[in-house]
Amino acid sequence: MKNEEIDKAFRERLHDTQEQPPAFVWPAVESEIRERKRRKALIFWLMGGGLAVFALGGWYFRNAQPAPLVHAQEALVIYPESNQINISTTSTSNPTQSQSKNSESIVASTTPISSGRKHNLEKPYQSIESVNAAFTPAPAPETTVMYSKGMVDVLGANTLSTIQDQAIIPDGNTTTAQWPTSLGSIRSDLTILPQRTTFLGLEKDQIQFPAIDLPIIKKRKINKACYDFSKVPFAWLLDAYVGPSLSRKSLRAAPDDRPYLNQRLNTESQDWSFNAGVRASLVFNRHFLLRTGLHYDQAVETFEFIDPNFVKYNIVVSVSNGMQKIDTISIEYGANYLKTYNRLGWLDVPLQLGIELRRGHGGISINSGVSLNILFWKRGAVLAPDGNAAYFTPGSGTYDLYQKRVGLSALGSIQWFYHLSPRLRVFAEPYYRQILRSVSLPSHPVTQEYGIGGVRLGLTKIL
Amino acid sequence: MFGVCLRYARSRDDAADMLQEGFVKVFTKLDQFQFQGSFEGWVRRIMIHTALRAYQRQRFDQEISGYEHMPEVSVHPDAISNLSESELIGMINRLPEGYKTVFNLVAIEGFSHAEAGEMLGIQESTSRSQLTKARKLLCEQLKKETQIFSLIQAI
Repeated sequence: MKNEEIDKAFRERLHDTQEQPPAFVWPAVESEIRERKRRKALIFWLMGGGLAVFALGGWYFRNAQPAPLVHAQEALVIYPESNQINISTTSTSNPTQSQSKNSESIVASTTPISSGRKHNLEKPYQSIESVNAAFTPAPAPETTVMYSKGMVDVLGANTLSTIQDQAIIPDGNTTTAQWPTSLGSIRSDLTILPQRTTFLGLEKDQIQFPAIDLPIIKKRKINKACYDFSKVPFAWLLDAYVGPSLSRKSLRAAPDDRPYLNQRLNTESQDWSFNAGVRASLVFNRHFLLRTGLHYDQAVETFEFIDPNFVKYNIVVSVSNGMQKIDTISIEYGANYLKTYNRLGWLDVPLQLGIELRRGHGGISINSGVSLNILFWKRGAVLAPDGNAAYFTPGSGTYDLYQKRVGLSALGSIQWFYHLSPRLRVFAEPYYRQILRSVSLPSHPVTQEYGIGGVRLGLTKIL
Repeated sequence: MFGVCLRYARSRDDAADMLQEGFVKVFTKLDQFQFQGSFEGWVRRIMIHTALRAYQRQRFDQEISGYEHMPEVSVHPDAISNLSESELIGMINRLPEGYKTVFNLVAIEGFSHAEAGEMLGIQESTSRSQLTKARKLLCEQLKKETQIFSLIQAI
């Protein structure tokens, strides 16, 4: 035979050979497709959740980043003793100022006013102290300087160029801008005017302003609905929660045990379950948390198996006159359908480190850590390697499948909370834990691993 | 398709795994079928790629070319027709991995040496060489089978 003839002969015989595949292939294909879809959905939701958290975090930080603007009305009360600072608002707009929607003018004058009069600044001021620091006291001339909105922003730590543009200095020949001397100094814990080199067209060292004294400084308004963690170095939180969860099971086997693995996959499916726990958290350094407690996770699986060669022997023994005798013998045989709801429960002691960001009534905390299993509880049945259903419930004595305890898990969660009162919060906390080692015994041909995701819904009491 | 997998796999279990993996790909990538050519051909290509990927870690020895013109082994034309499909598949499976894969791709599937070389990551000349060796080994096996068949007939 020539080479081509050999090829042709083999091709004709083998190209379209029809062979019947093993029966387990199709259910295994179906099961794997279902598993892939579930995995895809899980990834989709995790990504979606991650994006949502990212967006939420971004929004939170975007709003939280600027130093808290203290309303002057709340922050400053001025008691000038002899001279006057007269601040009034008008309604002119200035597109160059981003922080001030209403422009205003300020009139500073050395004209004495009655002592004890209160002047409330209407606009947010960030850096009153800077005024004190930057402006050196100087004799107050009879000069009235009128500032537009830009002046507000000088105090609010904005650009100087705006001020230069908008400042009106009646005696334009004056080279030194001056403030009334007797206003004293302004004290504040707020931060300061940024790096400016000129003011009203003058170099920094040419500017002299008097110190402004503020006898009373009221700090920012405290939100009464929230606990003020800034007042205490440490605080304890006590959580109690419960919520839904879903386990993700991973089965692996050596190539020789694949048929058994596929049979396991075909007979088992995951179901919804729950989680619950109590937790104590220590808040330190205002934003950091150390969390521990007791957490219970449960996985529920459905096991369905049809035993085609089921045989059951029934022997009824009766006792008469102290003698035992066999009364009835019967044999049941046929296909037996068995369905069990397997339950695996893990009681753990978690140890997590978290960071908490608060804003208004709510906030989020991001937590991660480990969880140590102290009890692994199991009830149910499974397909044993010999092809028969076997109960793995401890004490039933049919099949020893699982470890006694499962050791460490990696744990991560993101909590969103809302203050109902200063010391009471509600929270929702999506979490995921991955048990780091196999839950099945090493002697079992299939390696079984679990990850559990869920949501904790609960209450937090601040002690 | 199980027949295709059987030709590439080392065992029936491996073939079943390949078939399973291949059909999972088929069902998850159905939307990628362009309706160009037959559906069966598309599924077959997926099965072949799955089979090749299963053994892709086993690199073929880069062999020197020059076996393309090996002397032909004389085999009776009926030698193949006397054997069953499973016996023929068994003969192919007894070939070394590289020979078997090239023979499957070129001789049975009808790919060119250039295509087979690209699929396997080997040179075209290596593919030719592997095919020639595969044919030689198959002919030797066929010759033995023919001798046995003749003996049985004589008895």
